[in-house]
Amino acid sequence: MVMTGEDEKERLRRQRKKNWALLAALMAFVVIVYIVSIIRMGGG
Amino acid sequence: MSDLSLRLGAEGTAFSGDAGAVRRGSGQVSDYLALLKPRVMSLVVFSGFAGLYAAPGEIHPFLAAVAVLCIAVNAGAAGAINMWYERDIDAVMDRTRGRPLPRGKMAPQEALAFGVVLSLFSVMLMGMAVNWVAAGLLALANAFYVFVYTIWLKRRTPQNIVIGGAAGAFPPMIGWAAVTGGVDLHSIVLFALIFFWTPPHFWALALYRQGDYAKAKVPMLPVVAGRAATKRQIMAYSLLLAPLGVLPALLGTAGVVYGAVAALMGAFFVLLAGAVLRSEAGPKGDRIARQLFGYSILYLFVLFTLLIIDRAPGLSFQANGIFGLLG
Repeated sequence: MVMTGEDEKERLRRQRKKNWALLAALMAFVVIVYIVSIIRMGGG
Repeated sequence: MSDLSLRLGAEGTAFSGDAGAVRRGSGQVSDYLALLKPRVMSLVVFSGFAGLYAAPGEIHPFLAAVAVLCIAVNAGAAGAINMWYERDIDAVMDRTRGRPLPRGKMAPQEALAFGVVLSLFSVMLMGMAVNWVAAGLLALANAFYVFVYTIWLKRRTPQNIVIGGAAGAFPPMIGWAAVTGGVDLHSIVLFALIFFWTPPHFWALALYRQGDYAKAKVPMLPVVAGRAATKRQIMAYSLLLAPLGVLPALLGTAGVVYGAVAALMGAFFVLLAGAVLRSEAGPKGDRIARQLFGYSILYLFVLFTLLIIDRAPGLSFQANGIFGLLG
């Protein structure tokens, strides 16, 4: 499959969007684990 | 090229089961979200939350939110694995050919990896944040949906929906276990409610989507045993479901308002199943089957809503259930 410059630009744009989504998911996971730890250590 | 892509190639679809045909990493964020089957997830989340809320005991609100999140993500993850495995039949069914894999939006392995990673994360988080009984049930529900329903039963037996339906019945039991740390009669009844609701719900859909299932060679009951047998089975399960729907009120899981509404809605469920039983094949019969399908969703939503309302502060009609009220 031959990719044009436009296709490649579009692919990179999608990739960037996915990277941001993955970062948001990982950050959310870290925050959740942090809060859960605080609650569990507090006997919650 | 795999057998899968050869088979599909012979059927003339644009889809290829071979990952090489789809550029790796080509999926968009929206395609990954579609893999999670958001519409199915909404019912799972709702019933899971109802089980959690109706359970006796206390749980920190944040941990409750985490438990519901884990149930949601796990159900979505199982859906993604299901889409990976069923991409060949999804491509030939009208209802499912718009899904990301049949449309070649991403490589199948990416969908599989996405589903497996989310499954593991959700089970581990449930175990660490809530308790390991709830986590174990979550893992069991996921494994049941993927291995028992999707891989083992769906393409082999018209009873696929009956046995496989257990996977969808787990969420209220998981929610209950998140609070109580165990499984008891109350949560088993909530499990049974969804378990017996599933066959008439899906067979009503299969009645008016029969052609789709036949095309995909999925042995749904109307395809294998015919419409008349399916309608009789729908009636049989509706007759079991109607009294079962009232049981939470008799056991004290829910109150009298729930009990009364469940009795009325259960009776109407049976009436609609009767209308389906008497209906002829054709557009009119399909319309009645569609009505039963829609009503079955409403039935479950209303019952679980009342289960939640009965537990809401200041709105409780509990009084140890109907037996307690009478006694």
